[in-house]
Amino acid sequence: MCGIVGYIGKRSAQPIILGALKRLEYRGYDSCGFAVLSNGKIEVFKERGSIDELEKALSGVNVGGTVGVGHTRWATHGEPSRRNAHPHTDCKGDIAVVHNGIIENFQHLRETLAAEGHVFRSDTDTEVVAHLVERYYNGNLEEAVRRALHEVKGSYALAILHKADEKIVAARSRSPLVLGVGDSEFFVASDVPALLEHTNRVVHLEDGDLVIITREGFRIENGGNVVPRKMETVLWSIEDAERGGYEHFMLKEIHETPRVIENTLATHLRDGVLGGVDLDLDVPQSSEILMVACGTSFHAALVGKYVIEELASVPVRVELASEFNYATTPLSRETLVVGITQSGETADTLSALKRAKAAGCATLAITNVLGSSVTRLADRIIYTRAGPEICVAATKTFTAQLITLYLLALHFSSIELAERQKMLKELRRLPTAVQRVLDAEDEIKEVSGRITSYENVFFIGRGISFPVALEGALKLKEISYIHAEGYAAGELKHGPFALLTEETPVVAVVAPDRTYDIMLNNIKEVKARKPPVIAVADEHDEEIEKYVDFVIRTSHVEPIFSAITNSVALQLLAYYAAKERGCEIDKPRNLAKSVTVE
Amino acid sequence: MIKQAIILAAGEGQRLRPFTAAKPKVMLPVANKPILEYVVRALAENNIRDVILIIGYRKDKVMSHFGNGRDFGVRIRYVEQRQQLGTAHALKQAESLAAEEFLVISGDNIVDESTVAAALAAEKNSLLYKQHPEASKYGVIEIESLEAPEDGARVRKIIEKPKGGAESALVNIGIYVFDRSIFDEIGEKTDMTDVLNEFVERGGTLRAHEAKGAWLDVVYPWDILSVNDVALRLSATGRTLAGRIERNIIIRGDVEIGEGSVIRANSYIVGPVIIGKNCEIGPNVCIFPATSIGNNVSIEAFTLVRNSVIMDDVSIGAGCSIKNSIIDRGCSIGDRFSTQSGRGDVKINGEHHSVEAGAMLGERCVIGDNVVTKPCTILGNNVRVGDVKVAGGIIPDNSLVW
Amino acid sequence: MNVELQAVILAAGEGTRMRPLTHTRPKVMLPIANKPILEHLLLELRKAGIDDVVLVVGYHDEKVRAYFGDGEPLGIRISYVTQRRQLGTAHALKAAAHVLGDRFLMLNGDVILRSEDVQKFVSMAHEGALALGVKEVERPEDYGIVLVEDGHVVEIFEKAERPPTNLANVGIYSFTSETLEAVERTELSPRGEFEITDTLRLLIREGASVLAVAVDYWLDVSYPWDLLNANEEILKGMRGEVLGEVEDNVTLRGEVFIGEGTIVRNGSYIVGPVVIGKNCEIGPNCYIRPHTAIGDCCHVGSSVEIKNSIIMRSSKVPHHNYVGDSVIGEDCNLGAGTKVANLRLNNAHIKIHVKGKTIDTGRRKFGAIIGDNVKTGINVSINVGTLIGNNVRIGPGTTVGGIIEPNSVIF
Repeated sequence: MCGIVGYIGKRSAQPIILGALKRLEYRGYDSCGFAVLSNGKIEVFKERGSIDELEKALSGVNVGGTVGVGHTRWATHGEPSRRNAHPHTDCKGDIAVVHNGIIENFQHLRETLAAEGHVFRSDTDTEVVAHLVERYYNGNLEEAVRRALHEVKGSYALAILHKADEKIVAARSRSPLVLGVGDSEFFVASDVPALLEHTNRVVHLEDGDLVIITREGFRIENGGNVVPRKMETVLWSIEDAERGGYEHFMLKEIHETPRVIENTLATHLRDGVLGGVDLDLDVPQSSEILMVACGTSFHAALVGKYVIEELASVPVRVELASEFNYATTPLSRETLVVGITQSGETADTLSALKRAKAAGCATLAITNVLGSSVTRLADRIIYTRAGPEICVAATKTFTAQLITLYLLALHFSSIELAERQKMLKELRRLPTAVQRVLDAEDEIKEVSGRITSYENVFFIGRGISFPVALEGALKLKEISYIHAEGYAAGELKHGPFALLTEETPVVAVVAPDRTYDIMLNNIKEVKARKPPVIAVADEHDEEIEKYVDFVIRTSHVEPIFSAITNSVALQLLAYYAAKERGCEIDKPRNLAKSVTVE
Repeated sequence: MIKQAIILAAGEGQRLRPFTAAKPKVMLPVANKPILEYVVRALAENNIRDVILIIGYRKDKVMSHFGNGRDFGVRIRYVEQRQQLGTAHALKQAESLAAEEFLVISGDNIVDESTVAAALAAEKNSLLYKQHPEASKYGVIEIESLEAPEDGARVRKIIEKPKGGAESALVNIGIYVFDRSIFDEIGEKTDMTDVLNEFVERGGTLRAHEAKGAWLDVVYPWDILSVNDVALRLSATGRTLAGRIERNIIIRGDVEIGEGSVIRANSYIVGPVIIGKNCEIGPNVCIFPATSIGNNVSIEAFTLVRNSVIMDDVSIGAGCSIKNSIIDRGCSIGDRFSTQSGRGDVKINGEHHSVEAGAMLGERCVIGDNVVTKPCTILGNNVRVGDVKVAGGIIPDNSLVW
Repeated sequence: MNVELQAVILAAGEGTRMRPLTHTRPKVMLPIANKPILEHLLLELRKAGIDDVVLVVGYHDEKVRAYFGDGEPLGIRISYVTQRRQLGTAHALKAAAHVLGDRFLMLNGDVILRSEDVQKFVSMAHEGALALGVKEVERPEDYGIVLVEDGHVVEIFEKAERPPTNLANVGIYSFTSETLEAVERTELSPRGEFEITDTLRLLIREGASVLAVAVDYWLDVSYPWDLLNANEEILKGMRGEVLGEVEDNVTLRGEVFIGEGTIVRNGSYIVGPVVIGKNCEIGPNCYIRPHTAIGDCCHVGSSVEIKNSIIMRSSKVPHHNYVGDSVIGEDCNLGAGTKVANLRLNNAHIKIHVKGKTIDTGRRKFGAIIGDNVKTGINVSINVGTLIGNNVRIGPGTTVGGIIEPNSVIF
């Protein structure tokens, strides 16, 4: 997972490339670098750390040149270091390559090239591309790239410079790449935000595309033929992503949740009181639904399974996309496959949807990003209306995914009108319910102090609260670096009990539903092992405090919606725990916002 | 030329509970806009674009609404006052960001652009005052003479909340023009009146100018109703319709209906009325003057609403009669809820007030069917009232009336 | 004099006061007498000998690019620069700096000037002088104001309630590379923009001389109803010509322009100045009164009266309609019998309430401003001073007034 950019035009390339890289830092930030073509030479600058560090190292020097490529890296092959930072060059330093993706056969290529006498200077897979292009270069860069890519297996978004040519050659295969069209200037980048400062006219490249860009224009080829690609105009603006007084994007984004819920409902609940859910969706009534997703989206899918099965009585399977792609799960044509990805670029989820399509299944994607890869892949799209999310840890987009899944469940459901209206009425009150959880954040902040000194935390839940516990654990570990594990409450006695001591706090997510009594039993069992127990429970639950050490109260809602209020409370718990531990919350180490490699 | 304003927006507004349990006073909605937004817009109208907001109590509500200020035509920077010790202490927090000269303005009061303009026309070390019938609630200023009103008058003394009944006098409305030397005057003091009185005693010149424009204050919960009424008239929105307006709806006077709202057939609306976004109202609902309805509100058939403030995410059943009432966000009200309206005695912080109002409901109250509230009833936040109950008096937060 | 002079035109802004008409196009693309404001300006520039123009575009730039292309049909070489965020006039100029030479003109794209006035600035620019255009106005509080001594600019003021002079800054400048350099040093203004007036103030403070040059003709539009005045003004100077087909028994009086492919049917009565675009169907038996501009592909049917109005392309005013003192956007359809009122019963000025403010249009006669793709049912009555957003639907027999937000449905 990395971000690449390229610029060719009349302006000085360096500030444009560095500015664009900053907007891609969410994709990785362990090292970065850029190369420009200046006075017939390729000049390369790179640094370990963030773009700020690179700028510091440059101390105000502009190396000149109006053609260049840049890269911000999140290490997959080779440790984060200056040596492994992109751009990578060939033996003579004539060719510069930036790359996002994984070259799967790089070991083999590297050995062959080394045997031919090529000298490697880094541990990366990317460097083989530079040497391959060098091997085939015969005065024509695009021809050399074309031939080099013939030998490469894997995923890539590439941008390549050669000192003899005022041009950029870029290529895409299973890693995102957009071409930005300016006025006598062109850009390539992994993602649209990198370009927004300069242009809103973009061409989303497709797999197999090779694009040759000069100051005069660009040509897109695929399989040796010139192909037309549609130019699109992007409608959102850069200002959508500023912190507006909050200390961290994460806190700001959690606080945006009530509004996100309102927006999502407003889009789909025009005639809500009369019982209508309008998803503008004509998917067939399926005998089965399969959801594929990764990370936080996977947890949303698990909640979705519970809700859809409850309200619509359709069986739902949920698979981790990264596992599904390597399993031989049989797929029936009757299955509706739902892919959930915030960024719309998650490589594993995209592959899973491709496989589903190939098997003849109807596909539906739930995503937050207009024009992302998944929107070109799935038959139907439901957009979550969460706005851009900058913090690497997903919060408001998770809640928006949940709301969308509730609406999907109601869409498929044939429950009685009275029941349906009750649900919709309750949905409408969710923004206030969530707001009340946010209003009580000082209490959550206080409770967070109870877990920050420990090294391990268990999160447990049952029924719909089980995925909430999983997500709570994920949030805590990804930003506070406390090891946290989500567990089905009933499974503790099949192993984890052995780990429970006074030093392992347990966070129990309790919903006032049919799992309540058995959940209390589980908590008693846990308590017998003496760990501190924190419950996240309904404000009207008067029983719970007898069995636990601390209670985080969440607003009373219909139990089926408790996943929303409880997960917001756990997001705040993770936030304040991480803050207390002094972690870098918006950009946790080793993580990237959207994972575009498998 | 003054280009910066420092807005004091950190206070809770404790006398306004239950409405300030979850939001600071400056975020109380009046005609569907928080009080503070009137201040910010009045500044923007006067080309004051550099705004520093001093925030404290429930600061997230302010930040979430205003963000970086771009939507309001200003650039906002935030400064936190961690403890609400006093207005001078609040101002002191902004010392590092303050310009050479600046306006200090309370975020608690609705002002219009002419009030801000009056301040901008004043020289440094000035304050604005207004003749007010209930002076004992405020800081009363004593001035030397008023021969040339346009130059203002020298202030002799400010007397904070003078005892001696409700007399009309000149009250300090909390809008000042200062330069950076005020921070030296403040020193370690926390209260602005002390700072200014000491300044005057030492021979400093503090001038007072009359604010001729609007200045509206909310002190007690029921004040929201009268201020909402005035603000609706002041903003003179004309008629702005959006969403979906069905057949046979009579709309008279200034009425604003937000995007995505549905007004169903045979409803009757007489302005000034403002209805927010994504509401569902009717059929056959009557909404009468001086009513503000927030976003995402649903009102079912045959309900009547008059002179009331209904905040976001409220759902109201069929056949209700809601008059002179305030309903905070997220309340869920059953069918045939009726608010009796009239004069009553309300005790707040040990003081008795004779008030004329209907019901005042805090956030997320749940009201069953056929409930009646007596005049001047205050329900705290999250109160639940069962079916066929009569509620009255002041009912604390989280109560159950069963 | 043979050095080719460039003109950079600021055409990136939305013109929020022009809503709802600017929801889908920038202000410079609003049509007056069937041509965008910007086209009128470009034609005058060409007459003044300028054929190299840089357009700074941003908001809905695709509309500008699609309409003007490389400028070939106008006989001007047009290149584009994108200003992605509209952070002020100096910021816009900065965006174009890399394509500008030593001496050039800068103009606001939303005003119309005459070539004679532009010519004055061409001479200034050739001499390498800094200059800005001024004109006396009646309501100086609506404009940026310039204080001039001995023909030199002393101070420039933003809009102010009590402006010290009545000389308005009209938005045409002669600049040099020195200006570009000063733009780099211009600081953010209190309202958060980089403004060219601040740049000039900076230069003046540093001792540069900026000449104030009076212009004789200046057409400036800020509110939608100003388009009606401008339309009237431009139409007054036009020549009639019939390129389309005119059937028998059609009366054309005064200057009437009828575009190619347009057919005017029997019994139509048209009093110029009126301009009708290409491929329209007009009549039979309609009455089109002075100062009306009808765009391409429109339909004006029988028993329809239109006066002093702008009807944009592909809109239909087909049966029994009255439209007076109004602007109708693209792709609208008025149902049979839909009428627009344009005069209050008490004859008073028509006022508009926008965002809590009341604006006096200064017009006794003013109908409606209707956005794009608005459809009305039969017998809809539209009251004076109504602003209707894009994609609004109004059911049969309904009376509407005030402001109707985009995408509303009113029955």
